[in-house]
Amino acid sequence: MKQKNLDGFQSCPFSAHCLRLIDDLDAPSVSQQFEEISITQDIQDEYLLAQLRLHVPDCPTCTAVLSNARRVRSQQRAALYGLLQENESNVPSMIPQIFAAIYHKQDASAPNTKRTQYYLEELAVSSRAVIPHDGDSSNHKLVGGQPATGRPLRVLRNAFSLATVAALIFAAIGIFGHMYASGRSAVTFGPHLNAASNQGKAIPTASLLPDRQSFSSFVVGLTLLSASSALGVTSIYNYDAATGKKQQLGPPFTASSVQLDGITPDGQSLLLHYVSGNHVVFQAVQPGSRIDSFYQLSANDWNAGNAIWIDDTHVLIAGGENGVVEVDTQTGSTVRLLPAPKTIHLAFYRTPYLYYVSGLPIQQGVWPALYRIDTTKSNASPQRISMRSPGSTYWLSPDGSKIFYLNKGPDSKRGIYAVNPDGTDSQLLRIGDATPIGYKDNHTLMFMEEVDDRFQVVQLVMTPKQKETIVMNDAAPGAISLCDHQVPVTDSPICDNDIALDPYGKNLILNAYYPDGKHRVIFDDLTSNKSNVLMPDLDSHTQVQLPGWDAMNIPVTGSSPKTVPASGQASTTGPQASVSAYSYMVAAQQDRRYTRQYTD
Amino acid sequence: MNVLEDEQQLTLAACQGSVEAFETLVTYYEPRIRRMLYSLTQDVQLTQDLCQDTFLAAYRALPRMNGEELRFAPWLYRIALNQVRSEWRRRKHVTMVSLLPPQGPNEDTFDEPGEEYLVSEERFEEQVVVRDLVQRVLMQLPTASAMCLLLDAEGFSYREIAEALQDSLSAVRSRLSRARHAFQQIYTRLDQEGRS
Repeated sequence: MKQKNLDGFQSCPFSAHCLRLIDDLDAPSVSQQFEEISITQDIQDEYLLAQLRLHVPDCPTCTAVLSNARRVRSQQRAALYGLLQENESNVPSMIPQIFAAIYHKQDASAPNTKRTQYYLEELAVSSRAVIPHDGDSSNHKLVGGQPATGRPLRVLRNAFSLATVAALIFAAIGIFGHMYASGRSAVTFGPHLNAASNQGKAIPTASLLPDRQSFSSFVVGLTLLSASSALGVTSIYNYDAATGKKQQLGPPFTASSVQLDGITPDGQSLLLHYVSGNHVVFQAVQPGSRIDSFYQLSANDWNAGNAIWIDDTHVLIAGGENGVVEVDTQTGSTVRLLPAPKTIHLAFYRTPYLYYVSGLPIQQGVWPALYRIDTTKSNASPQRISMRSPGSTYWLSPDGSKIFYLNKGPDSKRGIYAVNPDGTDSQLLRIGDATPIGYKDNHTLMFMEEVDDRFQVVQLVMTPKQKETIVMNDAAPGAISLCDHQVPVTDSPICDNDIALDPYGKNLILNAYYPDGKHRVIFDDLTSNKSNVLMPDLDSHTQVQLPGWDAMNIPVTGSSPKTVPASGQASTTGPQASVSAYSYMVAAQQDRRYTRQYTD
Repeated sequence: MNVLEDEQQLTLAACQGSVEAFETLVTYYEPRIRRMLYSLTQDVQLTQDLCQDTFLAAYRALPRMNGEELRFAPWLYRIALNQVRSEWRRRKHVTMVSLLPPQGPNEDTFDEPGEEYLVSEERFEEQVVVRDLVQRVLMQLPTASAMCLLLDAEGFSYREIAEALQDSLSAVRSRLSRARHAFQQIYTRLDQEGRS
């Protein structure tokens, strides 16, 4: 749980209030719906909230403070929820004892009911419950390790109960085994193209692309938060995987809020948005082209969300008073697709359904899950597709026949699930904390898993006869985490938004964190099993975004990354490190204009 | 807080004496109450006792409640947390009874240093042994702060946390903010010490 250093930002008297009211700022409806505001401090908070909503969009300090606080909050919630789940399993359930006590109390007026008998018999197989027979349930207490005193001895019934329980356990094991096996049954994949987003990914696959090698470069977004400067600057680069040559996409953005939303299905454009003044600005970026915004939202609109491509020229944008809108990136024309009743995060689109994650703010009382809605029907109702799973990314298979995700929620076992796009046939494919990262050439799912401090890249088994294939034994040698924070022991150290697998399943880009506190962007050739350090020793002031692979042509500039053996710790000591792509990049960011504008 | 689909109807029915409705509520909430209690006590036996007492107390109290207005989840958690408080008082765990209402008018203002003293070296060395870093961090926080964080992690809203802790919305905002800050500081310190 790394806390970003916000030194260098000008102090703002509202920052402390932002931290205190962060949940209300993220979900203003919570306090507005609170109909019992009668305490003076609560009323004052409402006034303060209104003031902050006007202030924050124009205050870089508060924006940065809130951004950092949101990340920390998310990490803490995940860690604590993981702890709660673990603790739930550490204490045996008390439901039988509670029921027995309740019905024992009822027995005073209606003795020997069948229900009472059932629970008493159920308790008979428990070694530690005591059911007092004094008629007063308030005095019911547990006595650990002792048989129930005063409980009728029904040896034969108990034996029968034990046998029944054993039979049920064996039956359950059998059913589970069958479900697990069927969950591993063949899942076919086929053609589909779409763009990537943070919580939903439908990526182009090799067999469908006109040129199998067209998606040979990838986008890296770098946001530099300098301690000596007041603000951040974001630069976007496109790297050729084979040569390491790069091209900067557009000029640096003098904003730290730049969010890279995704790449077009044809791989030629990058969609991004950022906060500028009082607006959230959406832009499509192509190499060598002038960058103009094609859509803007009010920054005061707290429903403003992400955007996804639906084809090479049209995007869907969430949020705003207009709801979900479809925008033509070339003309700027918009069509209102859906009203936006609540905050949602768009996942992906597959005609005619829009898939989105809803229930994002946990404090609103809803765990996030994947939903879909028919965009062609004005009165369509949302349909839940996945289990409730906070922080999951949903992967639409190349043929659109399955959606994969790592279930992290309370509804079922933690593991990778496959579900039909209509929400039916949910299957557990693999138990454990493995994170889907994309697809292999043959359209099987690839995932990453931490095994003995190594980050294994594995091809998922799809049939009982197949075996899981370890594609790369350690994708980030020496790294301790693939997340933008130091992950607590109760959570996975793998975050898929710091990983970008190419559509062919042969090359991997990831942002890895090391014990020395630095992080590095690593390029893995999954065929040769080699790791290349693309950007070494990035500090906590440098944020990395990896939106995915593209098919943009790279002109002859830049330098090649340094290659290190996959079996050793990635490091860049020695003279070659000084000519790395990163050093060139940082120099480009810290130009005179940037320094002059933000120093002091 | 995620709730049962028909929770309000179930609550109403339970208040009117329906054992089946209460049974459904117990089935849904018992694991949640159990894990909350264990997170606060780290004692299996005590957790089981308090868990059972919580539901029996709820069962006894339901007939006296207004089922149309009762929000079951915050109410049930309030009973559970009161059980914890009573237990700490009974065991004279003086350091753990900070769930008591704030003392003084400024206790919950944001600028008031609340948990800072907890990150001092002396306090840190008095920590009880717990299984992992997060649990250790949690156990170092005041009980009310730990409860705030756990309720927040469970998906409770500010309003529901306020109901469960019998506190004002403003106080909950301040407490939760301070708790997050303290959690982060203690976590970082423990983590760094564990690495050294």
